[in-house]
Amino acid sequence: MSFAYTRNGLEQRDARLQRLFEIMPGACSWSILAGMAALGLFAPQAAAAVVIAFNLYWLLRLAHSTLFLLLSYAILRAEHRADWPARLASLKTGIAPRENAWSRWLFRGRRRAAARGAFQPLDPDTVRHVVIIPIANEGSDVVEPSLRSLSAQTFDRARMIVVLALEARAPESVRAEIEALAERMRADLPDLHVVLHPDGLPGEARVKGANASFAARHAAALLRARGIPLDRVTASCFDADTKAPPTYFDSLTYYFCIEPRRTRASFQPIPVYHNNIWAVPGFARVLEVGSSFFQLIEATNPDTLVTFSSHSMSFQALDEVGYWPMDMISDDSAIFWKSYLHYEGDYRVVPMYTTVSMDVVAERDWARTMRGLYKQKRRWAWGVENFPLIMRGFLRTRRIPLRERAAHTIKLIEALLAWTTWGFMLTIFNWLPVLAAGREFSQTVMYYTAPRISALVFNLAGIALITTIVLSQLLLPPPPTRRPFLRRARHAFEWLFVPVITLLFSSIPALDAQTRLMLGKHLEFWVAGKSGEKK
Amino acid sequence: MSALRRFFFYLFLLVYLVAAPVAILYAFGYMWAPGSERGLVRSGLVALNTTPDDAQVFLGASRYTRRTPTLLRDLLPGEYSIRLARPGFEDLTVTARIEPDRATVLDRLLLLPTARSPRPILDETWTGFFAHAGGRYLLLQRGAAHFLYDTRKPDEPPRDISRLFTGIPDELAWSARDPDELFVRIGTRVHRLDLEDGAIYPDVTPPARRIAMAHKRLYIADEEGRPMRVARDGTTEPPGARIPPDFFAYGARAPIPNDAETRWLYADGNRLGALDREEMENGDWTWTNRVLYAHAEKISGAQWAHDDSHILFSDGSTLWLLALERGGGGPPRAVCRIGSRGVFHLDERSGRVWLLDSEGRLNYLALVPPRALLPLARAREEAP
Repeated sequence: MSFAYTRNGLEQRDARLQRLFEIMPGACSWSILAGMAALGLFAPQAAAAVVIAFNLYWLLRLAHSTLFLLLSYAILRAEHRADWPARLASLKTGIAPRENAWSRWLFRGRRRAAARGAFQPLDPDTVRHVVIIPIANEGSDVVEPSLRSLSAQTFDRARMIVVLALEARAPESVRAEIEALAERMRADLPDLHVVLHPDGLPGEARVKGANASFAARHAAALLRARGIPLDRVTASCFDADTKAPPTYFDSLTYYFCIEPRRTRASFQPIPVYHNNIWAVPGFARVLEVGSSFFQLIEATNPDTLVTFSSHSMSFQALDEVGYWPMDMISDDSAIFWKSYLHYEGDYRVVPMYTTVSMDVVAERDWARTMRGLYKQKRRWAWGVENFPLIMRGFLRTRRIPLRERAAHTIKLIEALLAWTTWGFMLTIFNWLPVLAAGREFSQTVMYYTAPRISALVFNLAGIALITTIVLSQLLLPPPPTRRPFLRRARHAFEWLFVPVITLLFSSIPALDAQTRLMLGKHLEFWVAGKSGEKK
Repeated sequence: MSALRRFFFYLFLLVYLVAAPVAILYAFGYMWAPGSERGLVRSGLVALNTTPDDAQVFLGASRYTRRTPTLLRDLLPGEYSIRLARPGFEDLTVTARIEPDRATVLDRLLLLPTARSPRPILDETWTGFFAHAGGRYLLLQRGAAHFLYDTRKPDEPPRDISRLFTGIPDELAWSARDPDELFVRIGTRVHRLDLEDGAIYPDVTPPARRIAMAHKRLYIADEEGRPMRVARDGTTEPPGARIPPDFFAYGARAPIPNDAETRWLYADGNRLGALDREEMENGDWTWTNRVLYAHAEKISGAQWAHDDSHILFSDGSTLWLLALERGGGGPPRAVCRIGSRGVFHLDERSGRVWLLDSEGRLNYLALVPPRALLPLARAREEAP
């Protein structure tokens, strides 16, 4: 479908639709919050009934999420021990690698699925990878660990093209550092390029997508010049601080080879924030472990999975859809939706049960870290900018089945509203009817029963919290301290503050982002402070 | 995986569609009644809290295993007799009327100790006393002589401060904020005495026929008999939303409002009454007179007690406790014997009642437990 995935240069009808859908998420969120506040103050019985309905819904969602978090974590653990080079070899030999029972079961399942589709896996030896690392202000202290993780790959590095997409507007010192770093790293990464992205090109905003697209075009030209077919190439757009595990590109190659419609797919690893996870304040640790858990849960739902943060995709698809949007901040999710609309629904995200590790926002002190985290979460929440474009695209196309469009729309709206309202519902509106109760309400059965039901719900939710605490202890790397037990115990305690953390660093930034979009105040790109390799 | 997700999605959806309406209906008081009233009925509940807590609860013949504070839920509409029992205290039986979807709140039930003989604390005899609202000091009177007594130092004799009084005061009111500050009415003039430095500040209020201190606020009745509240700077708030204009017309001797100033207590010879402020639909208010007890012989003093849920009053030679709505209602309960002058004061903080016995000696009685700084008791509940 020919659909301009942009909010700029629209015709009048499209511009009106765009504006309408820009207003919708913020207006819905504010309506819910204002409605709950008004109900709590003026119709507390009704507010308490809504709170009960919400609490039960939240509890069941939590139970559902916890169930699939456990399942997803089990798969991640099993796949963590996978012998990826052996698996790649098995694609040619057809003999299952000697792995644990779980991995063998997964492997056979994939083979059966491939056989059902009369599909032959791609020869892994023909696959190449392009890795694009956009750099705005990050110095070599941030980028070098990322490159070192690439140089440590078990995959043949001669078949990897690494492009450092450097902004021309970056300070001279940063540019010099990156050039020097590239020079040093070429011994390990022979196909390493530094592409300088000129500032202020027409049709571009100062966003990461513009820089990454410029670099990807450079890589495409390189591939074409070398006669490498694009359908055998993946493109990985990694944040500057992304550290890939040594077998990442082996596993990507494997997933790419066994995916029947590999040129219509993105490949999403599980993002973790382990680079400096023990060097940041507790609230930041809880928040980022929570983000990883969210992606683990999402990985179990490939039907509506959307790309997030560092991920990989078919280079051919990237080329055909016209690369990343060059006027949007949320390039990671935008490229999925752009591809999905371009191919009119014939595009999907394949979950990869392997991790990529990044930095948690870390500044000099707590206050700055809080501010930095808030801005980062607001930038994530700015992914709402995709909503009006997706809705316009859904209205335009008829080839995506209505059921599929409805499923995506419902999930998007639910996610956007949950993001802004759940924190308020759990920390404020749960108690507002009782706290603001007048004499009339305080003499009703509801006044005494609603808190009792809420208490029961929160006690049951405690099971999910305990599961989360246990999993977070299993997921996190060992603390770099002489008393790791105490550190882990402290981390377990930090989870008790999750309602407040959710409100401050999830609901409020999301509401901020949706309100800005509603009012037409678009966000400027903000580069998160990254600490490099803190231990 | 998708199939598994779908299965759990529909399973959880089903659970939600069943559980949410059931929970909401339950929260609104609906329940499935067995027996002859079989069907969906709307129930009510009783919130019970006693002072002291931990009392056993009997609903009719059923005994609850948990103790107060508690909620009695799922009660069909009607009247229930509830008995509360705690060792060392007299049983208390209250009647709770249950209405659909209504919570009957009886959260100020006061259990009287079985042993409640006042204990004399000083050998001297007195004609009267005034208590500081902070509970620590008593101003004891013997004729024209006045003595300051520190209850925290029971072994120290009362200090004679008569020199501060130029004449025999008609009325005294002790500032609740500052124990050194005493308001004295002589005729229609109201002066403030500083007990610390002995200074007298004359005419700190407009001319007054009555003065009284209640809930840290000074009230007067002006020369026309209108009740007024006096601010610290001497300005007055006339009758209106918080002060009933014709309060003294009911025979009240002193203004005794509750803390919220929504109920003004008066004692008129043989009856106790109250003026209740009632909001009207248009936002205005009206004051309604309610006789609370009309069978007294001669009431000589009355005081709000237990967070305005009870009234403590002296009638003849007995001190009585009358429970209002949240205190469970019912006829007044005799607390103890008291001197014929009916001089007493309940200090809510310490829980002690100070009184003069028939010989004029100062006594005290521990009526309620000392007030905790933080309310630690929380509602517990159970089914019968």
